[in-house]
Amino acid sequence: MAIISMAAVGNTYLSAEQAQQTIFPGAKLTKMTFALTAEQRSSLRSRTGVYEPFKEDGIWTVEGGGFFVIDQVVGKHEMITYAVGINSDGSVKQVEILEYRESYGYEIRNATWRQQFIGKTSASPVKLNQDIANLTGATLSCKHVTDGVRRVLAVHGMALKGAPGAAR
Amino acid sequence: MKSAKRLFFIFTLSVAAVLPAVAGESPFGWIYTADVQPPGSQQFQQWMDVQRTQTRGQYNHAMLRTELEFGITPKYQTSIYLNSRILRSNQNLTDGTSGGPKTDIPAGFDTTMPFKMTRLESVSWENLYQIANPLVDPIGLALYFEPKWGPRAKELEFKLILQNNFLDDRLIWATNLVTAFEKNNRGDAIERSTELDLLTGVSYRFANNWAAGAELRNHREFVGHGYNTPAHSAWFVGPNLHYATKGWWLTAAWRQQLKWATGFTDDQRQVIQNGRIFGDEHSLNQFIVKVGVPF
Repeated sequence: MAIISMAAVGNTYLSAEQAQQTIFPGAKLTKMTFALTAEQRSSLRSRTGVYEPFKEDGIWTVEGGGFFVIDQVVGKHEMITYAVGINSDGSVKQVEILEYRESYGYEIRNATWRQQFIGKTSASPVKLNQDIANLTGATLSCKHVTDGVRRVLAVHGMALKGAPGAAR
Repeated sequence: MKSAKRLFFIFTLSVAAVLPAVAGESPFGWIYTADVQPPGSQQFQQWMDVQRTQTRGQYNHAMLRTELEFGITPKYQTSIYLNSRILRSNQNLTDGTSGGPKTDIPAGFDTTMPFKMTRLESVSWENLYQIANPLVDPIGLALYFEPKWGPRAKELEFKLILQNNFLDDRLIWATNLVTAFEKNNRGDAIERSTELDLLTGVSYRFANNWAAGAELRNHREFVGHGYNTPAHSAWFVGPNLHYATKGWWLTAAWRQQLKWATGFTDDQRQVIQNGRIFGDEHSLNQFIVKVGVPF
């Protein structure tokens, strides 16, 4: 906890490169050129309930299979930047919080909370208070990061797994 | 004795200026939300609520609230605050005398002269219990209870707080049904009244750290304790603006009385001018600035 409190002063915990090496150590990642169609964006919004636009320029393919995605969701005052590593089978490998600048809710960086996402796929509910437990005092952040991970998985199920550059 | 009181007042305001004020962060000026301070956390808040302008002359009434708020459980928060006020009125009533809301002019005071008052008013104990969380439940619901005690003002206030969030919680709609039983000294007389307010508003976070919206209030006052003898009804509307970072937040709002006032007694009808009620009841404009520091 003390480490989290000290780190909170900086607000940025991991750069994109650091997050890539944390989730896929030693792997070679290649940035994708990716764009959703208007129809896909609309479908994504209705499927996930998230209104904040998906960051289409934050996707990397991983050599040997898998994806690394950086996205943002709405925090209490500012945006929360997070990264999701996706295995070649479409399941979540790891979730990392890159930037967080709020008064409360820093507990979402705790590994035990983030571990709940490991193994989730686009077929999983990934819903707060359903298959993802809430953290007292951090409800808004837990809810939005959970919704964000669900959206990343939906993007994968909808468009990434068959995209050019994706390992088969 | 008078200078001792003044020193104590100045000391209190000085403390308020350097400490963080207490009360939950709200993007609204006067409307409460159903959110609860996280357990184990505290917040300091300083409010300044100013009523300004009656029919003529000058009327300025600044109510100051210095508050410390505590998150106790995931559903319950409490706070203690100190109420003080500064009032200046000068020939602001329709008959050219000095008076107005909350003036508490001493018996024998020449009301053709300007009236000034600065004093510590009361202490309040605020309690908010969240029944449904607006972030995860279909609608947010909270109950609020606040006793206020002062040598010349006592009040019991109850609130029913509803809240619904939309668009990734960027858009907040909140409504409060408020009732308060008041007992106030006015000179040598004691006035008992009951208030029934309905407040509703929206706030939209249009950029990181910034939110803006609007608030509407219908205020109804009754003579004595109870709802049998209505005195008047008045309407207010205005915008709000909110800025917040992780270290502090500030909310500013303004509301103006609409020309929809209704007086239910002869006394009350006499102080309605051009559709607005003044007298000892309301002003034309009201402003609020709230600063909060979580710690």
